[in-house]
Amino acid sequence: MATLGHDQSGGARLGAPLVEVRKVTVAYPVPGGGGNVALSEVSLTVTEGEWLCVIGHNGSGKSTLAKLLNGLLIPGRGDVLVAGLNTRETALHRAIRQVVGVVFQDPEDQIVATLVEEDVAFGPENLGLARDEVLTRVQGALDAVDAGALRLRAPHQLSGGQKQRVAIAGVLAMRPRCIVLDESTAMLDPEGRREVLDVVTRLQAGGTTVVQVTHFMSEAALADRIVVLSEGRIALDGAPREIFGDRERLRALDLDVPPVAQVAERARALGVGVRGLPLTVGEFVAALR
Amino acid sequence: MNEIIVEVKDLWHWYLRGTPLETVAVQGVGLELRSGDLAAIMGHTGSGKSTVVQHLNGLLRPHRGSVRVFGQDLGDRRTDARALRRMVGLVFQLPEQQLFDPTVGDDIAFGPRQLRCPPEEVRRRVRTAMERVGLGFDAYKDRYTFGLSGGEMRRVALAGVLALEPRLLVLDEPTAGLDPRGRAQLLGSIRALHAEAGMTVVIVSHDMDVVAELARTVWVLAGGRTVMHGGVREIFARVDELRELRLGIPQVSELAHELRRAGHQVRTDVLTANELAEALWTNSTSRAG
Amino acid sequence: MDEFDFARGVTVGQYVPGTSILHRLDPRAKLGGFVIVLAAVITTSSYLGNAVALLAVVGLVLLSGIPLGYVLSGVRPILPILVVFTLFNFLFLGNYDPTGSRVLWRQGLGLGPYEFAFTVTENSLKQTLQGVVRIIALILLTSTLTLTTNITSLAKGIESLLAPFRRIKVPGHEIAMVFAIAYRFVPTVADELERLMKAQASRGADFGRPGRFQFAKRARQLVPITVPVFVGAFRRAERLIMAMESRCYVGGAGRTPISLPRLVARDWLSLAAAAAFTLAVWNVPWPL
Repeated sequence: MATLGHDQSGGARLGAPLVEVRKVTVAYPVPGGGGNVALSEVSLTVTEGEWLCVIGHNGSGKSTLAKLLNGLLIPGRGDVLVAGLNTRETALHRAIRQVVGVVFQDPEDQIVATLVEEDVAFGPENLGLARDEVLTRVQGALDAVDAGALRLRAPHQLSGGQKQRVAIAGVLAMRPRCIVLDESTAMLDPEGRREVLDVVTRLQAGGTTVVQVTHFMSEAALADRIVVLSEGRIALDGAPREIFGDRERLRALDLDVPPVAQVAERARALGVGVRGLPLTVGEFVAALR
Repeated sequence: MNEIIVEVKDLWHWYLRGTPLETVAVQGVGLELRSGDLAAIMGHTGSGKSTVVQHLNGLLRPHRGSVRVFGQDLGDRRTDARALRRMVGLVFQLPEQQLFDPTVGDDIAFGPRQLRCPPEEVRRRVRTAMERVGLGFDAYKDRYTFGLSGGEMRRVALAGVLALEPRLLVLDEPTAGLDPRGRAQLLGSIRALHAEAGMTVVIVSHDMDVVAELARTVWVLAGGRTVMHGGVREIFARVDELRELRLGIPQVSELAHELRRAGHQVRTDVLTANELAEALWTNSTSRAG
Repeated sequence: MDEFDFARGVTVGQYVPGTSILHRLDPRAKLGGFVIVLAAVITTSSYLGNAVALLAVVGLVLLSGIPLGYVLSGVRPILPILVVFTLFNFLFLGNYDPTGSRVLWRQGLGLGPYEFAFTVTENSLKQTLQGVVRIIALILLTSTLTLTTNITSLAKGIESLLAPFRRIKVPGHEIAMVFAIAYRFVPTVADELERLMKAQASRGADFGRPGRFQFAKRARQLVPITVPVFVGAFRRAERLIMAMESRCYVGGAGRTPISLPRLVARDWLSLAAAAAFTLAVWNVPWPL
């Protein structure tokens, strides 16, 4: 498997804090007066190598949070530190965006060029890297997302899943330590969603930190840690088993546990012997012995 | 049995017919809808489902084969497609993108005004349509369209089609991009439209969870052809075939299937978590007894 | 034909792959050649000179290997404008002829207290005919350029040629980027437009033609299309900006320089041929 190599090797240590969000408040002015508070006093630490899932309804502030992580948005109050660099300093944005890369929701609106190969080269070219370095990175990134065969294709002819993988490759070419996926599977069909999740799983296994913003509970089951946002605040923070173990609290937030866990809970209530809290199909079958 | 309102026989349709880029989109699809149905047309991207459905309100004409809607033959040049669109309402994917009037009430009123309804009638239709999608008439009619949330805008777009008071409502990927709350709300509205307003409803989707929740009969398309059709339970029990067609399988169906393969005698035609849990309980008590 | 089948009609700005010599030329040579030949086309002021320029352009089209009929079809959309232009010039330009050339035709028209004259002089006739030939030649020449050069090459060529002007603050890279992005989104926007028209038609909108001159009515009819397209375009631009900034885009400064292969013999020869042609057209004492 092609490894990407993390260039920002200063302090890359699994388990150490990579991104720190410190008591951040973000408010948007609204036409007609007043304001809309997207995030209120939110604090969060993303540790190197983890798979963090941020869940919430539309309006919970999750997309705002995603944009804070690479300095696209600056908080009104509080600070965001990426590998120790404060996102308030515009001069540091170039370095920050080589640590944290963001993949957005609409595959179409991330692709800039008329050829896949050129679009993936966009990032490295922006960094002014030498031509051979650019080519190496493009090849590495395309391989990492299984899109080597799409190299010379025109992006607008690709399927949603393929486009989104190309978008991920474009971000990977920057060699980030952390990838943020801002609802990156929301506009894809089930096949596309599977393709993207497979790529993300592989990347995380290879040491890349993943922050996945989503509203699909079944995707959250794959994460190391889940943070639930509600109305601009953190409502829950913990491992999937902890979070999904408390169905009542989730229901109160208009959320629910993944379907597999629902079956387990109901079956247990009826008296069927289900051990533990299975979150995937495989776990459930095993839990039923 | 209820009357047949849509009859599609051996339908063929090509994209860009007559140009060097001509490709076949639909090759011999057949399907049938009866008054009062709550049906789903499923297939992954490229199966031809969107093309088929655009024939139902006359946007496309059959190139070969026949399409009869409410007794009208769409192969006949003289059939007035515009008139047909009063009876067949087609809601496209991401319909909020089609909103154009800055005032919610006026945007919804566009359809009735195009039909030359007198002002009283326009008002009545707008009010009814808004209520059906859960947007209070007085609360929303003067709101600024582009200031609403995504979910609200989608409901405005749906209301815009409902204001035509169609007898057949076709929705293409109705829940695409909605969070769990918005999704539940929209599905509830659709169910009510079917149950209370007596509309025949067709959902076009690749999201099998939506189909499982809503539909009673299912048509499955692949490669421009009809490959499966029947009641929703029997279709969903055929997990292996569905997987081969690259359709996402609801976790519950997949779980039932895997449990059966592991030796547990549970029914595989379950649609909800509760049903599967009960099937497991029935299985465990019957084994014990 | 289906009411909404759009994609077939888009020919302007299209790239048609091929193996002609024009296809194989470096974009910088083509851009340079284009400007040079263009100079000949729009400045020669003799009938014969014009004809020769037009023939030369047609020759280029034939050289490209792209069917002449296809390229000419790019002229069709502007035919109405051309006709109006010709008619107006033909009828009125003669009234304002400063050169005092011979009058070929004059028709007076009295409408109450007002008097109009339609005058055609030797000079105005020449200007009119030349104008038409120039416009057609310009379209053919531009089409030939875009049909034989894919957008990426074109953008690189533009950026490369404008690079030396960075010193005087000409944003060469940004200009090239604007073209490239606009072009890249043409198919996307075309699809969106088709979907929009279908969606609005599905709720009763009527896009039939009201009447040839009812412009206001036609504009109103198109509001359900124009507004969403604009709103969509702005939203799209916003999202694209975020994606570009996330990949450290800050404009042309500090970017990896465009790498184009060195110009080869055929590139230089083509430029030389273009220059020779233009000089010839300028200096030959055309008798007509």
